[in-house]
Amino acid sequence: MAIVGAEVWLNNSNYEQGAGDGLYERATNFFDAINWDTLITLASKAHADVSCHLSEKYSLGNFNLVRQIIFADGTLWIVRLRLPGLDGVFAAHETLDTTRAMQVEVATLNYLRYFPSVSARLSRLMSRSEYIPRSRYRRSLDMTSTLVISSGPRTFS
Amino acid sequence: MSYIHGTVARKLRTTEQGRAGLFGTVSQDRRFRQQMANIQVQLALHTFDRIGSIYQDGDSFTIGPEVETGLGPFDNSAQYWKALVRHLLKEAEAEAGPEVCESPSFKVPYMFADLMQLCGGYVASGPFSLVNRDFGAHNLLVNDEYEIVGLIDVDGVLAAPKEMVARFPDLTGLQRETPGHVETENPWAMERIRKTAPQLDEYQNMVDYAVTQALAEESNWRKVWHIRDMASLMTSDTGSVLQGLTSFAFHQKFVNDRWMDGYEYLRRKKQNQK
Repeated sequence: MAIVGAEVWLNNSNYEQGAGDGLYERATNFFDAINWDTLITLASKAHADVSCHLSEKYSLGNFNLVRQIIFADGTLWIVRLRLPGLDGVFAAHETLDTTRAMQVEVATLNYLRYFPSVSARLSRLMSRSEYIPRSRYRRSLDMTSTLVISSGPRTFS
Repeated sequence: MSYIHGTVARKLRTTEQGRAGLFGTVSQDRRFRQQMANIQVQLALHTFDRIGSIYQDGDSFTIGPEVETGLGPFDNSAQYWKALVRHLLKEAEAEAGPEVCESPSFKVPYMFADLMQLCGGYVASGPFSLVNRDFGAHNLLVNDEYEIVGLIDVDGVLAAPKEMVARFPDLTGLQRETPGHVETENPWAMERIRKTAPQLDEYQNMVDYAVTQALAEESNWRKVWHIRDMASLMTSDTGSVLQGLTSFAFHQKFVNDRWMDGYEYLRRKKQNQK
């Protein structure tokens, strides 16, 4: 069974110090520059003043750093922080400035969270449906109630 | 935001080093792709009257400037295509090497508008469906059985023209060949094409299935009618024309060369049909 999630986060181990691409230094400098104590305070305030701490491990991509926030009541959040921009292959290709791009991302997350698809029944069916080859579903078009479904979570971040 | 216990699908596949090109076992892979198709169709059910990215003002959501071009919102597809072409050219001039910029195939974006018009797909008004232009295994969180549990990096979501909505997730290896191209020299490429062709066909069927379900389930057909052609659009000529434009963003001369040939093939094909 594969190990997934925060358990396999590697901090900045993906990058090689002195590789010449600047990625290790960018990640390390950025991590060191963050005021993590202030972040913990903000997170606690945003979650009804429940105390929290940060995970030891974090994950790095080309554009973001993510770290877990662990609350005393068992709630788990992640904080995602935008890394400084880079040129070349790892440059962001969006023209909109970072602040507005983040606003778009938050708005999109809120939209997807609070506006389910047109049909609530469809939403549940599509999240759990099993693929039926075309030859079979054409015949069963009038028998949607008999379509095989299997369980599966549907949770968008 | 809430923590979702999962790993990016592409990363998990690399870590597990399973059967080449599959996400888990054969059945897990098929279920993963079906869930991708479901998500793609589910997003497309949401429509707006303009093209652009989503913005929030209190409890209401509107369409505003699009993240990639920084422009918009756009009232029709022609305005968006024009902005996208300009953006891709500007980016290429700034970042691509001289072998790309000085090659005849740098003309591909300049050919886009006329060819799209020839194929009947340049100017269109709404409604415009939501799509994630960066949709793929690099933005999907899965559990250890490759069931999709989360979608990340949603700044690629926009209300877009139908050709963009009906794209294969080509960043997940589902990439169509250029029109008219028949590979006869590179054995690796021939093997890749041989393996990809049935996957493309199957994914298209999965989208068709999800659309069929949507049409069957919704009592008010007007709410879902706009997606009825989604599956067939995925292999349309206008879809190919768009693929050529988006491939230009990779800044690779051999890719642009291939698409210039593809564009010429489509142009001759359409003109012969007249």
